Amino acid sequence: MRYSKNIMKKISKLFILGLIFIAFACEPNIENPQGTGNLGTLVPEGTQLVYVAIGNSLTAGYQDGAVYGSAQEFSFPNLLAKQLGISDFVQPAVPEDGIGTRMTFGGFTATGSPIINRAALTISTPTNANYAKPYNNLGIPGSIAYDLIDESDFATRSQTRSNPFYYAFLRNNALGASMIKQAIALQPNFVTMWIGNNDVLGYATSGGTISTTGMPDNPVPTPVATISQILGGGMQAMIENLPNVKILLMTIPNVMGTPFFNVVPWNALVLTEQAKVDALNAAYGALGYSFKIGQNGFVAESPTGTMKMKQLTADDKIVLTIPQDSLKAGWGTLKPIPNRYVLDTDEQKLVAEAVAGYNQAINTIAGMYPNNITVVDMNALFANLMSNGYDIPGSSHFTPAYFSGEFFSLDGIHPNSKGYGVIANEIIKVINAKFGANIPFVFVQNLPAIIVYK
Amino acid sequence: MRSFLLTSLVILMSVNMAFSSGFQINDHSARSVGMGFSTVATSKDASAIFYNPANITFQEGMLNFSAGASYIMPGSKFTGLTTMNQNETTSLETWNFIIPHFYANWKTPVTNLHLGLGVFAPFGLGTQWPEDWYGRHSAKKTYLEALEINPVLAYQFKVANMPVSVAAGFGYVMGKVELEKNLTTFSPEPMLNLKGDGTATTYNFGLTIKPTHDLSIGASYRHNIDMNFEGDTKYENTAGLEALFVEGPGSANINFPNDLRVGISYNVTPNFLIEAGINYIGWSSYDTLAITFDKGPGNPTAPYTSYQPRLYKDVIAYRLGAEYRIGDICVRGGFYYDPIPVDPVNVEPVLPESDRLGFSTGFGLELAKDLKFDLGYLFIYGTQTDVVGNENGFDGYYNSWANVVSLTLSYQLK
Repeated sequence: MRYSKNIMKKISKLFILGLIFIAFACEPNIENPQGTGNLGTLVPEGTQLVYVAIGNSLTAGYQDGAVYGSAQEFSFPNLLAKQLGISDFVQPAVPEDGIGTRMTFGGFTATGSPIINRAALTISTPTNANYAKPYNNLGIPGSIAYDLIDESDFATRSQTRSNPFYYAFLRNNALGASMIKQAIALQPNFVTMWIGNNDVLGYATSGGTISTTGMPDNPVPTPVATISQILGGGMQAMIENLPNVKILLMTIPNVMGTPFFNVVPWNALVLTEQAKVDALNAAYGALGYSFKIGQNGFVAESPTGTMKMKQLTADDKIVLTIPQDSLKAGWGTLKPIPNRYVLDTDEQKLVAEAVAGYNQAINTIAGMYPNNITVVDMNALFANLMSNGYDIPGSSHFTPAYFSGEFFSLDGIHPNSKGYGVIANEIIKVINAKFGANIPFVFVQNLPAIIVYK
Repeated sequence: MRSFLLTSLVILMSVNMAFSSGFQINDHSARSVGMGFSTVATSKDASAIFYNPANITFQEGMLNFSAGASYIMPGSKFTGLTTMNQNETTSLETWNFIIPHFYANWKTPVTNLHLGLGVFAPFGLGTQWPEDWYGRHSAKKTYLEALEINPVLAYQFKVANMPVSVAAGFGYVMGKVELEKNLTTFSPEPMLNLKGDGTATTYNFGLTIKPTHDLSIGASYRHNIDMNFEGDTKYENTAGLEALFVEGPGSANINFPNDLRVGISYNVTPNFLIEAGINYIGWSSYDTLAITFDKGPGNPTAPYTSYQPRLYKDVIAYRLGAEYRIGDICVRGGFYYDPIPVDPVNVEPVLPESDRLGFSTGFGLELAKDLKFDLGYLFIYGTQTDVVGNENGFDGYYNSWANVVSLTLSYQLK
C-alpha cells in the first residue's frame, strides 16, 4: 500500500514536470527581412494604384488562338496587377469556350510530335458584359493603332472588320467612344500601352498580301508617319486629361522569329522518285528552278518573280496557317503556293523597316513626355529570345521553337502563360529601376506552358 | 518535343524531413534525448541497443526492458523567393510524429554473453507544404519512414584487467516512402503521387572499454541501409491528359547513411556523469536520388528514370551530455551541434536543411527499485540557411526548429 502511494506521488510530480516541458516547447521568433512590395515613386505615397492596360491580343492574354477565361488569368496585365497588389483589376470575363478558334493539346503522335486540335470559331459573351465601367484590361485582339482613337460604333466595327472583340470588350460607345477615351474614363494613374503590332502583323501573316485595315491596298504595313501621328495624338490626349499618369509604352517586336513563320520549312518538298525530279526539272528548268532527290524549295507565287513565281530559298518564310493537306495534294509543285502563305525577302524587309520605324516613333513620343512615359523595350526582349533564348533557372530554357520552346502558345504567334509571365517580369524590371520600386517578380516556373481544355 | 514535359515533371522529387540533419532520427530513449544523445560510452538502460549495443553487458539484472516514444514537433519556414524579389513566408503545415521505441536485453546462461533486441525508427518523418505554395512543383508532401528490428549479441571480456565489451547486430529494416507534387507545366495542375515500400538488411557493431572504474570509452557503427522501394505512381486532376499520365508501378532507391559514434564518459563524482562524443554521418550516400517510372510521365509507352543530384556530404556532429543524481532522481542536460550535410546553395524546399543546435534536458525517476521512468525534452534550433544562387532559382531563407518530448519506461528483472 505504502509502495503504491509512493509511486502515485512520484507520478504526479512527473506529470507536473511534463507540463513544464510542454510549456517549454517553443517556436523561435523569426525576423524576416523586410522591404519588398513597395511601389517607389510610381504613385505618390498613400495614393491608390489604378491600372489600365491598353493594347491588342498580347494585352488581352490571347493564346492558343483565342481569348478564354483560364488563359486571361495569365494575361500579362493581370499577372502584373497581382504583383502590384491591385485586387480590383477587371478583365472581360470570357467563358472557357472563349472567343476565337481555340487550339488544344491532344497528346503526342507515335513519333512524338504534339497533336493540336483546333475548335470551330466560337464567340462567347463575357459574363460581366454589364459591368458599369470600362474594363481595366482594354486589350482588343486584332486592334490596330488607329483603334486607339477610332470613335466609330463598336458593334458596327466588329461586323465590318469581322472581329468580335470590339463589341465584346469595348461594348458600348457610351462607356467611352474610343479605346483611349475608355481608358481615360477610368482615371488611371498607371497605364501600360502596347499597340502597333497588328499594323505590321496583318501584312506579315497574310504573306504580304493585304494592307492594314483602312489603309490603301498597296499592300503595305501601316506607314510609320501614320503610327507616329496616332500614338502621339493618343498620348497627348491621355496626358492632358491625366497630368500625373505614368505610362509604360512597349516597343514592337519583330515577329519574323515567331514559330508562326518558322514551323513550315521553305524546303519541305521531299522528292523520292527520280521520275518526279526529272518531270519538275523539265517543267521549271526554263525558269532556273532545280530539283533533286531529297529536300527542295517549294514553288510559290511571287509578285516580283518571273511569271509571278519563284522557287523558295532559305530566306523565304511560309506561314503556319498554310493548309497541310493542300501541300500534300501538290501545292508547291504542280500549283505554286499562293502568295498569301509566303513572305519573301522583300516583304520581310518591309516588315523589318516598319517595325524599326514604329519603335523609333515610340521612343520619340516618349521623349516628348519624360515625366509620364517610360519605354519598355519588348522588341529587345523578343530579339534576345529569338537569338539566345531566355532562361528560367531550374525550369526552362525558352526558345522560339514551336511547342518545345515553351514560350509561345499553340497558335505559334502569341506567348503562352509562361511567356506572358516573362513579359510581366520585364515590365516589373523597368518599374523597379525607373521608380525605385521593389515589386516582386512573377514566379514563371509555376505558370503553365499548356492550358488543358476544361 | 516531349523532353520539356519530362524535365519539368520530375524535377526535384526528393525525400526529407525537417529537423535532424538529413532525415536521421536519434530520439530513441528519453534518457538519451535528455543528454543530447551522449549515451555512447555509458548507457544505463536497454536503449544501449541503439546507441551502443556493447553497453548491454554492463547492465545489471537478468532481463532489461525499455519501451517508450518520442513526440516530435518539427517546424520550418521558407521566406522567398529572393531571386524573384519576393519575401513571402510559407510555413510547413503542422505535422507531428510519434516515434516508438522498444528494447529488451537478456543475460544468457553463457557467461558474459548478452543478447538484445531493439525496435526503433532510425530514419524518417515528413513535410507537408501548403497546397498552393511556390515550391509545389518541387514538393508538396514528402514522407519517409524506416523501422528497424535489430537483434544484437554482446560479449564482455578483460584485456589487462580492463573490461572490454564487443557487440554485433543484424538489422532488418522496413521502409515506406511517399512523394507528392504538382506538375505545373499544365493548367489545371495535375498532381503526382508516388508511394512505395521496401525492405533491406544491415548490420552494426559496438565496442566499449573501461580503462578505469570511472572512465568509459565507447564506439558504435551502423552500416548504411541501401533500400529499394517498389510502389505505384498515381495522378490526380489529369482530365484531358489521361494519355500522357498513366498510373503504374514505380521504384526508387534510397541509401540511408552509415553512422559512426565515439564517446568518452567520466564519473566526476559517483553521482555526476559527463560524456562527450562525436558522430560521423555518411550523408554522401545520399548523392543521387533515382526514381523509375514504369510508364514515363508524359510518355507512358516507355519507362523513365529521373536522376536528381542531391550532393550531400559526410558530416561530423559533436555531442555533450551530463547526468546528476539526487536521491532517486536524475537530472540531465545535453547539447549538440549537427552541421548541415549539404552546401546551402543545394538546399531545396523538400529538405529545409540547416546547421542544428540541440539543447536538451531531462529527468529520470526510480518509481520503484526495478522500475524507472525517464522524460526528456529537446529543442532543436536550426540556424537560418540562406540560399543564394540555387540552380533551380529557389533562393530564400529557411528557418527550422523542432521540439521533442520523449518518454521511456524501463523495467529490470533481477
